[in-house]
Amino acid sequence: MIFPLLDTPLTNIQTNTPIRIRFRPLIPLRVAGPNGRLIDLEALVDTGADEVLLPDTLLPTFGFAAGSGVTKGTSGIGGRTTVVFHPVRLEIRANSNDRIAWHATVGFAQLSLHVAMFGIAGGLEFFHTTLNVIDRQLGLFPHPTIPLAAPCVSPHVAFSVP
Amino acid sequence: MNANEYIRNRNAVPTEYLLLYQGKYVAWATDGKKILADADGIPELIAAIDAQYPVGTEFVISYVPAGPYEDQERDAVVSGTPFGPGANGTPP
Repeated sequence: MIFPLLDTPLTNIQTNTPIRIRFRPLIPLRVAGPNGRLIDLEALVDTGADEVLLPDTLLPTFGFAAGSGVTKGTSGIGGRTTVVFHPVRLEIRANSNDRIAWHATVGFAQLSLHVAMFGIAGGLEFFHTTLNVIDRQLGLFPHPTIPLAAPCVSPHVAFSVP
Repeated sequence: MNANEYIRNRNAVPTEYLLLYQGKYVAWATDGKKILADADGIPELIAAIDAQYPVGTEFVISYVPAGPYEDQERDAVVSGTPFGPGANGTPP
């Protein structure tokens, strides 16, 4: 699957003028919780991130009880924090006919700057990854070891966020 | 959803449009052409979508960084995993 890089304009807010454009490997990542809720997030493909990380504010949305899951301390830019891990289904879709879903254990943490991080464990470990900044393309090619899951299809039911 | 179409259309969105949503979590339409809703937090954003749009409406959650940028380098992202609220007006 090939994705274009996302042009991210960086703007001087005081003058409201664009400073520069940065091309970032951001992909829509679909997450399916055990309660069936589907959420699509923009995820930064980050080879420097050990895990797939999602915002911890989504824990109730996916039906995970407070205090549940495996908790680990970890460190990154900005300091140390606690990450709680839960099993979910993930899906990426280059187009309507080119999609793949798999089972993964992902971390939920307080994140800054990006909504989600698509790191190694549970994510990039299952893909041959190519990054061509010159041509502004990201390639993600599934490896046979990927633990396939059923497609993440919306059940078309109403959810109430607690 | 077609991610290639989404990203291509996102790339065509005028910067002025994004400036309207600085510091907000936003819900993009899956064609990447417009923002359906915005909020200060992700749960609030999801609740706004659930309240305003039919069941099963698909959207993509993103975040528009806030300023002010006194230093042009403040928004540079170094590879790694940023945790917690940052000094760049990032979300709580």
